[in-house]
Amino acid sequence: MTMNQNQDANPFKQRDEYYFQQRFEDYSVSSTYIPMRDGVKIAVTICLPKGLSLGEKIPALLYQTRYHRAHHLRLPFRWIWNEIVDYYPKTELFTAGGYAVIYVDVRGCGASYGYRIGPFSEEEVKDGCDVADWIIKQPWSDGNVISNGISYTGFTAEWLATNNHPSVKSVMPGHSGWDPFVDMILPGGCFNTAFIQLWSFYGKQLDQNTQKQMKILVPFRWLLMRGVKHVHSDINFTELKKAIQDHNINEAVFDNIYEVNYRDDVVKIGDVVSSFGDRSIFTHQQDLQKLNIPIYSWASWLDANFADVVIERFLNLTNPQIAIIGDWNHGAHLPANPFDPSRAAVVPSPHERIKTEISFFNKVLKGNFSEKTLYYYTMGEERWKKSEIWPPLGQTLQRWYLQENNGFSKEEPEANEGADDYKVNYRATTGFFNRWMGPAGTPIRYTTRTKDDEKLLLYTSLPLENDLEITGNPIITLYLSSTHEDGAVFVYLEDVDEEGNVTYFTDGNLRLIHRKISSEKPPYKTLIPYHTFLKKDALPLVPNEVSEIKFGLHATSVLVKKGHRIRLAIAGADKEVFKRYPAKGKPIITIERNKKNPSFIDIPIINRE
Amino acid sequence: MEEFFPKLSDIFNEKIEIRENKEQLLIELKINKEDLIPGDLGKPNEVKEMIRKFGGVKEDISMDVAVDEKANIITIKLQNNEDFETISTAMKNLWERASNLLIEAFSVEPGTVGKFKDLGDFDEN
Repeated sequence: MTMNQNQDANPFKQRDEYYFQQRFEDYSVSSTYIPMRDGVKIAVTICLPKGLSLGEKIPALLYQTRYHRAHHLRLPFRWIWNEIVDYYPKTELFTAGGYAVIYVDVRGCGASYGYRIGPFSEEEVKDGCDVADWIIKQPWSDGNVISNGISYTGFTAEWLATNNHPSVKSVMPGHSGWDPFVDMILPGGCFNTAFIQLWSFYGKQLDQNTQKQMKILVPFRWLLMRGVKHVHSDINFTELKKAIQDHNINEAVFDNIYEVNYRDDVVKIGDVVSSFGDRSIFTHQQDLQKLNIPIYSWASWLDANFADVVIERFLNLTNPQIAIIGDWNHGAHLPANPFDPSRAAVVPSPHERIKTEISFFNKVLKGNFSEKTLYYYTMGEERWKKSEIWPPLGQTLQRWYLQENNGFSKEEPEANEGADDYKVNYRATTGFFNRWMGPAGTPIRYTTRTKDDEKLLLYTSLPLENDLEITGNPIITLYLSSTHEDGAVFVYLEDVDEEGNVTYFTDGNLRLIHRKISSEKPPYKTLIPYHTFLKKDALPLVPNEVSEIKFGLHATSVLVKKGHRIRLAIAGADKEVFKRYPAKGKPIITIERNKKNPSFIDIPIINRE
Repeated sequence: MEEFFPKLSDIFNEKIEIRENKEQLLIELKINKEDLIPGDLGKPNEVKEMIRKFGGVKEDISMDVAVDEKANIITIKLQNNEDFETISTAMKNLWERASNLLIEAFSVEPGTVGKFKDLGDFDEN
């Protein structure tokens, strides 16, 4: 057993004196508008524990969302539940633990005034400071502000920390990115049409406070909610109507970025010109480290590129950190472990997970938090592990080669000739419930791989003689030629059991014009080859000329069992998810697998001896 | 929220008291929720829409709805015995129907409209 394989590594089973304790039974809900520095009024809902003793001061959890801070429920649900009924932080737990919870509609959204020029605009981020200023002036405030969130709200929590507001003591970004270009929008340089289109449309409905389309998008939301909750004093919805008028000029995300091909492509919205780099948190690493606030960063191996984000924060930021990578869907409300598809409910339950999160904040605010630990779950082994370094101790790269007759093994090819042609099948897909649609909160399940693989070029190993733990980022090197200058490669790693059932566990992809590996220093430390995705580095293929294509797959942690086989599956498209490259034509890709050009993948394995 | 699903119907019964006066063709709903804010009790049209959608009342039944925000009471005045019986029956099933629909809506996958297609759109304004 290596040092990282600790039996007591389940982060949700850790107990100390800071562990969640219920202090309050119930909470009150109020709301108001807070004027920002430029006069824009921001809607907030304030939840306070009922029964605070006279003069008692408490910390505040700040939750800034673009998905409505609170909901005006339909009858009869409004008669039994309050306006924040379905929200992630579980208000009842935070308030029970002695925290105020402050929900904010970010500018241009919900009941807030203003408009959006894009996600996480400079003004939106600065608003976090103004709200923190307002919080610490409240009679119940002890001057401490913390922030958490999942997805967009995870971003806003992390962005809040870049302000270096002295009251902000810790943040907890969950399932969020810090380099959105590769984390979810154009992973590998391929445009994530499915999610961006849906997200853009959904956002538009929310900002206009129209529920009709929710019937298709999120049926429970349509049935339960009339729209955003007005600020309580706004009985006739006068303010709400004015605020929504402000949103008329909000961004149309999908329309604005659909034609983006490069990281430095500029997007012009109104008078504002920006590119992805401008609004990526990784460009604020120095700001994040300035006050050295503890960060609790968490995600899943299966959700977008967010596990890699957790690892990158861990590698790059000097802040004290708890980092957690599990096996659930976006936001951890559904199980997503491909090795355990029959699991009925997510583990830990949201209730238990949030108690752990509160315990972390307790420790930061009341104790002295200085550790830096990454907890990760190995799928297939079904076990939590932890490490204070990444990659974990015992990791080595094991090279597996693509072989003739669709074989896959550790032996280097010796033949001078050998290649496989693959006519790109543009019907190939991972479907709707995959890591790239994951940020929509959908289930994540790659359960049809046995059939899907029929459209792909496959390389499958012999049955393994021993269990094989794979933990980290596999890196693929393909020597390939194509009939076209542009195209894309999608690589899947899969487990094939004794009965031939195929279980996906990770993948990676690259648009081939982005194949250049830069010799420049990456803007943040990463464990995979550095592709800049900048226009200046674009390198179209020379048709029918062999090129080296090298890129990283998403980090994973799995145990492939003895007797199972490993499969490398290659596609040139993912119809339901990504834009088609090239837009027209039917490329034939030739993968070399010979002595001169041995295509291979370096698999990060853990020595279990 | 889903943790409440198994007992949702009971929560409705606990928080909302239904009183009927057949002679006067009145149905009263007394809402026992402490922290309702002004307006939360609802507007007459919202109440009517609730009865249509969640009570499953298809006929166009004439009713007068009065909302007393001070007493947290909603009064539904019907025009005749037949209408009274229809709404009375609808109210008896409403909590369960609303609960079941919500549970079903929560469990369907995005993009699956299913039986909600027949429910039509809400008109509460």
